[in-house]
Amino acid sequence: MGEAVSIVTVFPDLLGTYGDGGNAKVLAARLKLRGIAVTELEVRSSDPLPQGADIYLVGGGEDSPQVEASKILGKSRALHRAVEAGSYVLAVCAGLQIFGEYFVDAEGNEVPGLGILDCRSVKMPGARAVGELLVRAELNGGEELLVGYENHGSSTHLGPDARPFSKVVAGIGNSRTAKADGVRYKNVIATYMHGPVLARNSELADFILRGVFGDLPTIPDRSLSRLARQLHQERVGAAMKSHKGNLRNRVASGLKGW
Amino acid sequence: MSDTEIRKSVWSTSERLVRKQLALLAARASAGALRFFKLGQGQSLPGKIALRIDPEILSELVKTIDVVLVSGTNGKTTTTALLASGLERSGPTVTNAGGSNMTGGVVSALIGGLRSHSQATFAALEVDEIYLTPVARSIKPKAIVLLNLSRDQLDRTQEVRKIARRWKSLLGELPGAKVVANADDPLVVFAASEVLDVTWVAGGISWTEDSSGCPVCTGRITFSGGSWQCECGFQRPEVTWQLSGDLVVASPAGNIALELNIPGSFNIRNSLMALAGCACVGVAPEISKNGMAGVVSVSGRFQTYQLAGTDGSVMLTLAKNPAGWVELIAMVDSWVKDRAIVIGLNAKLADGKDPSWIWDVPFEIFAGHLVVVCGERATDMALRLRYAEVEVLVVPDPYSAIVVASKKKADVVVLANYTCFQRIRKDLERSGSPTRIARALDGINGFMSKRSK
Repeated sequence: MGEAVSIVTVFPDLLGTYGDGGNAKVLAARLKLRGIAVTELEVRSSDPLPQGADIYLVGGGEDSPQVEASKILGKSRALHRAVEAGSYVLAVCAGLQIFGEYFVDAEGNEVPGLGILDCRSVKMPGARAVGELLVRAELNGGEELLVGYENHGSSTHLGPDARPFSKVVAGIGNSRTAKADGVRYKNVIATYMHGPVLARNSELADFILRGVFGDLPTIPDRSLSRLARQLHQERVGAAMKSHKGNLRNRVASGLKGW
Repeated sequence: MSDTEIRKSVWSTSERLVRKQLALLAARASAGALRFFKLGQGQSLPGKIALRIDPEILSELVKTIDVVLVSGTNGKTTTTALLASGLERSGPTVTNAGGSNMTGGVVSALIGGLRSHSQATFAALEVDEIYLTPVARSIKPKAIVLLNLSRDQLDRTQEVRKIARRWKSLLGELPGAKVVANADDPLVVFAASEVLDVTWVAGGISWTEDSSGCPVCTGRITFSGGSWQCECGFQRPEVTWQLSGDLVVASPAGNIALELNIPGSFNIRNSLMALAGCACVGVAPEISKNGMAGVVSVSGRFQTYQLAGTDGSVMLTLAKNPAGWVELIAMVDSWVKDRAIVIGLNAKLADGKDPSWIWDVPFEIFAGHLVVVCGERATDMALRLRYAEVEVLVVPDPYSAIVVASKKKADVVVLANYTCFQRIRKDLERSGSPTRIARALDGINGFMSKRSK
């Protein structure tokens, strides 16, 4: 696709409930700010996915659009080929579930996923997971704190071939017992963090861009970088605080039970 | 028999009456106390207390009244105001103008309203999308007006489609209720698809991203030329109420020329829904439209305030989700040249705790302009705008933000989401004293000097 970095947003008409379109906006802006050319494509579900793009973004969606998206992607195998060819993929929430072996629909039936990731998503026992999600992920050889917002009713269980994307510090992530969020495989990053995750975590955005482009020049707009850092810190602080509040509630309700 | 069953069975008619009177007394006393001690607006607590004492208070209150409920994601408060002023032309009408639209708020409004309008013939009540089920079950309304469904407060409502399914099963339980439904919104049509007495209105749709997946078959809905359809056969029903000119409504009762004094094409659509709602309880559009002309601002929406100590004005608008923003953007686009823009964002329970939706709004239209950003989540909004190449000034305190904006251009437009909007409205109504402005400016100077260091 020439010199420009190409970014494809997959089926915004079916997957994009939680502002996931923002991830494409952030990636494109962070390239443009550095003077790097970018091609942005929003591909609706009625159109075929282009091959050979650098980055594919797959967002969150409601139950029945998720089933429909999985059906189309399973048939076209466009994302299978992209992953094998080494394209970067960010799959969020329903996107994560679609990439696995199967997930469940509104009625609780198992629906086949793309089978790219060795994971299975089933109805989560107990309440829906809704709230700030704070994780530690290995990026650039070190650990980074990342923060997002999760809102899902399924839990995702990893098979032996899958590696979680991150360790959960606060919030739920893949399941109430796993203490892990998402899946990492080849250049696929799958996570339950929306928010959108790349707006709140510019480190993760730049990690993906570095993978595609190589070394990145510094963004000259320093006030934007400062604002991005400030938002990250604010949300990390809020996630810690809500986590402490939850712990206190759990202890209190535990005591009441006695 | 369980305890509750025994308790229920021994309730004679007189006890019912006593319980109802006690509930009313407690609600009125608590409303008075809240007012006296200036504790909030006291909108839902009295109703909650009354419900605690008499769980059946809601159906008791409306026994002799024709009730029309209004629900949907956007336009509830404005449509309810239009509906109430339309009905008022035909008979005394109670309404929950404060916008308190969950069960407690509806009960409070009815108790308060029936005190001053003891002979009320009608009630026009807006109800939260989720609370429509319990409220409609108790009230058994004459008519329900269903406006639209799109993403809003997903941390609380989870999925838009779930609400549509819930509405559908609710309407199945209420065979006597007439339904006025927006034919342009596939999710609303799905919810009302099995209703016997339904009036389809061309209520408009500004945001189709949440309804492009078909609610019937998981296929996709295609929108074109003002209509929509899915391969499975699910399609836009034939409407009987629609716009046939700028302000002309074609209805089963003939053509009606509208007179409206609130801005925005979406409000023309809202008045269409309100006219059809009035017709359901026997109030003809020729009568109700005269009442609607008297609506100039609705609970602060589109209200213009004078900013104390300046020549400028402040116009307040509510923008709380992508669909609402998309509706406003055409208007804002023409304002941005000669007015300063303030955007406020909070993420309290009533706003939804997850403001991810700001990334769905095409803020790129403000590119190159300066926007003053305020509210608890000002940083989220500021970064969103910066990525859209908008110049941003962050002033977290809303009132100070307005004062700062008024220094750039005399006239200011404020767009804020729910709790931020309420806070600003209160501030603007209370302001007016030059000392308050001076104090706000002091705060800003402190803020600026801190930043420049």
